[in-house]
Amino acid sequence: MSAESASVLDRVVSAERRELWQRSWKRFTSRPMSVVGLGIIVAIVLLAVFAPVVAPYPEHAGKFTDFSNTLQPPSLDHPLGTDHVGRDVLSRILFGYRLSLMLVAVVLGFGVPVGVLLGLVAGYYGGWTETIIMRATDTALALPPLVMALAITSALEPTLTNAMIAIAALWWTWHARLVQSIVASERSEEYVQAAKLAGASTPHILFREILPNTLSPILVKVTLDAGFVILIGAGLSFIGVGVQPPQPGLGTMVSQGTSYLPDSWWVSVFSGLAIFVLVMGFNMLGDGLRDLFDVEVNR
Amino acid sequence: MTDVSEPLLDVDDLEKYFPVKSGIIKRTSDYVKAVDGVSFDIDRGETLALIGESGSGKSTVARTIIGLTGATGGTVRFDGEDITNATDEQLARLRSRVQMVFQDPTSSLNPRRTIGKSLAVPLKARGVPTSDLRERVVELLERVELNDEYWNKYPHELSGGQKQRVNIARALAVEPELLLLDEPTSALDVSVQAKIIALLEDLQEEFGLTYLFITHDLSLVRNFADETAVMYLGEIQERGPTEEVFQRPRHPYSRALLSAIPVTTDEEEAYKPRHEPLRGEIPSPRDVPTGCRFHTRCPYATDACSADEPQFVAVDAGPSVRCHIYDEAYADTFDDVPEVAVAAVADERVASNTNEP
Amino acid sequence: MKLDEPVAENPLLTVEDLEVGFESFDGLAEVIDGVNLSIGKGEVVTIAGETGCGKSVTMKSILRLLNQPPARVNGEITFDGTELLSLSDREFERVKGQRMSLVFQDPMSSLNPTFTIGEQLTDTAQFGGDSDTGVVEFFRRRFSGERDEARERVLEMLREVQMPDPENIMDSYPTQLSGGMRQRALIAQALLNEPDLLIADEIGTALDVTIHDQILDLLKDLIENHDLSVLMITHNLGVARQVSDRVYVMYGGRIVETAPTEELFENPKHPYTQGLIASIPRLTGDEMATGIDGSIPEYLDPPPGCRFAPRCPYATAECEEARPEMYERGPQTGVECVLYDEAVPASERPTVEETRSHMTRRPGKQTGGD
Repeated sequence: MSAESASVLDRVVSAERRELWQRSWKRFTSRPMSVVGLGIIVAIVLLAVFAPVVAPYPEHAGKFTDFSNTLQPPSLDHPLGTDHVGRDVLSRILFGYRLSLMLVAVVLGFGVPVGVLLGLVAGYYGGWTETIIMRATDTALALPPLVMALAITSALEPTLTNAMIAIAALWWTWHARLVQSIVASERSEEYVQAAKLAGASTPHILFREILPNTLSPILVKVTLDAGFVILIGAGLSFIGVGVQPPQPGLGTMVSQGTSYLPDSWWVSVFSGLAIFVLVMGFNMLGDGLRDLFDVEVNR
Repeated sequence: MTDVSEPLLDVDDLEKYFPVKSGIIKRTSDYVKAVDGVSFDIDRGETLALIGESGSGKSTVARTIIGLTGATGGTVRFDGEDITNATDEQLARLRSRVQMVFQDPTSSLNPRRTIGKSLAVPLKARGVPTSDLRERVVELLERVELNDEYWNKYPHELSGGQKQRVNIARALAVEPELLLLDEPTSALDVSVQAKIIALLEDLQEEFGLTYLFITHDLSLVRNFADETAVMYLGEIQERGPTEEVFQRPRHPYSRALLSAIPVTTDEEEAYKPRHEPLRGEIPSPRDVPTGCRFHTRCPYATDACSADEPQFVAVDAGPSVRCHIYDEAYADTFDDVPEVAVAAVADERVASNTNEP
Repeated sequence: MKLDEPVAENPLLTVEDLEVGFESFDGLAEVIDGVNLSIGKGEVVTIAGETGCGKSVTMKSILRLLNQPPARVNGEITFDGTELLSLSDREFERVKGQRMSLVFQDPMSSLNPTFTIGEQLTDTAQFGGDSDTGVVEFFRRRFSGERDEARERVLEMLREVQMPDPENIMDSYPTQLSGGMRQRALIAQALLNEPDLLIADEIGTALDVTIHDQILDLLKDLIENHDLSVLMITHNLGVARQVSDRVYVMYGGRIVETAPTEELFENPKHPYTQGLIASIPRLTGDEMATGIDGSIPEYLDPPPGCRFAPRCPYATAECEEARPEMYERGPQTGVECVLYDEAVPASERPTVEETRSHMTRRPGKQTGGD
């Protein structure tokens, strides 16, 4: 085949591939919920990333006090009001999102690869390997992440870092389970046996053949997980073992605002709503992806 | 290379039992005798058809030969080398000489990988440099009458027949000598099936391939296979030259199989043996009947059939059959036998014709 | 478009001008494009065709098994004088439950794994075709002597379908039965309401050859004894030949040919029918065609004229422009191919042998699609 015909071919093929993406996008966008979810996530991530630029009072994110301006109701200057030391609630929420998203990134960034790897190995080899990995997983699964985080943070030091370590140390289990169950059924699929017969190495079979077939459920799970992790983080912060003041943790803010309820409702309500919107966004996106991939898989 | 007269594949008394585990501690309580003493051989460039219904163990035979599952007993020799329960090193060598095409064209291709990537796997494993991969894959595609457009397609963009062509191409990538075809056309429509069969015939001619063709469809075998073996519940019941098995099916099971095929012409209808519908169901391979395994469904069965296991012996120096009807010692116990049995004894011509040259 | 296609005398079921489209992201897929068929009283009719020809969709539109949308069903379906498509769901359920029965292809998925065969079949015998039994009425019938009578009827039916050991089978769950036994149970269930019309979708296809053979024999006996009218759906022409009185050959969402079974197999007319018959491997070892080149039409953008034209060795420009008429129309015959126009001399019409030779591959020829 000449180089010329190859490049023509590539163009045709890439056009087709584009079409495939367009179709998936079209199907995805046909569900308003998932589009709204995606919109929420994108908007919040952008706001969090550019918080120092977009926040009206970036300096309010840290140790800042303005006692002349405490507990002001929502106004043009402070759209979501101010807290008990006069800090702008909107600015603190935007910086609070940074911490929440960081928690998600660290927990899932550690938990998912570890879980997927263990799941792949357990599911593919079966036998004793599977028994050992999966019994370890079951044991870890029996510990609720929130309780584990409480234990670790109270034993060491109540910081966000420790909370992250605690949650991440347990989060892989879910992914190990999920991937193991998929791989256990995939490994007897004829395409795996065909690859084996073709002389493919075990790493090739695990990572190139089987892994791509587990990605859709993993992606769906990761998206739904993000919501859970945020909730757990907020819960820890709320009871005071997560994000420590003056850092702007969303849970911490809800907790601090409760002292001024019901008169100065805006601190708790708006930071609570902020958590709600973010978690809701991840859940809607996750549901949308799940429907999308279900269709894809059944095609 | 070894002696030309030696068969390329020689399977002798092959056994494959799957343990049935029960109870909390997973004790082996029983065995499923999927393959129970199967013997056959295939000469280079020839085709042997292995026919059977579900549960006959025909697919297990192929999977045991190629090492996807271990054998419980017996030997498999490939080109003179004992490859029963082969070592990894043996398997690696073996798999560049023996390949397999699976039944389901869809599930044997990875849905997330392009055709090009799937076909590159065996080439890479053989050390083809990355720069040559594309050219070699296109060559393979052309060999199965597809073109380079398929390089970047995903399996779901292909029809069943096209997928099966890709599977055949992948098996051919290592330039094998023996191809195990496990029901390669049973998931396809007839007009497509005919094309795949024609392709397989061409490839056999072009590359001198040897085929073990596994199927439940007897009519496919007639023109395709040199030898035919009919399996029932883990045992070969009849084995012989395809011509013979079709024209004078001896074993009652072969006769029933042939007579059960819904055909489309009157000539075929006339060609079929007398219609003898079988009784009952296929027994579970976990619980095989005593004596002749077929006696529970055989229209000719007598008490002797449930008591004594028939030997697998050549009848008139032609096909071998596992049936008491063809055993002198039991001749008196049957009051009704297939015409072939009568003819075989009476007609010397039949015997001389079936003598292999 | 209204096509005049052969209609059986005294028909039990007629389908006229059936059109079924499916809405999808890429537009409307016109899967069934003007299908006409009829089943006479006591007639056994087969729709034969390969995967994707529209035979199952036709069957499902008759039984209202398609979800609308995405499906769009147009046309007229008349069952014993009643127009079915205009009936309300409830009225239709009544007609269907009392006078039609369906035997599905997959015996496992059409039986409920959590109830015994006896429970399921007795329920059918008691409540079949009566989807709006009130609660009180339900309990009255369920716990009265009627239940025992129904059970007796089920047992009798199981014996009639030659179920081995029917008393025991009554108390077995579907998973404990073999494929052949499940198929028998389904046939028994279908006959419990004494239907006039039996619709059999690929009956026994999933079974082994020898079991399939038993089921077909049984079906033939039952058709005779119960004086059933049958619509069979199959991809296996051999089965069509063995069981049916008349065959409709379907391709690309249209009926391309129909004839009494014997005639169809002795003298197939449409190039597709010929190609299909020529592609079936022969027990006698005669040469078979090497398949039909090309693939089934893309329903989103079907060929404008004859849908078989792109694969037909005899296609002309005319074929690609307009849909051919149904020619050689007799009371029970018809072929939708321009070669059978009266203006075409008989000598130009292809025989199976000719088609076989057209469809037998010459070495080295490139064929892309299957």
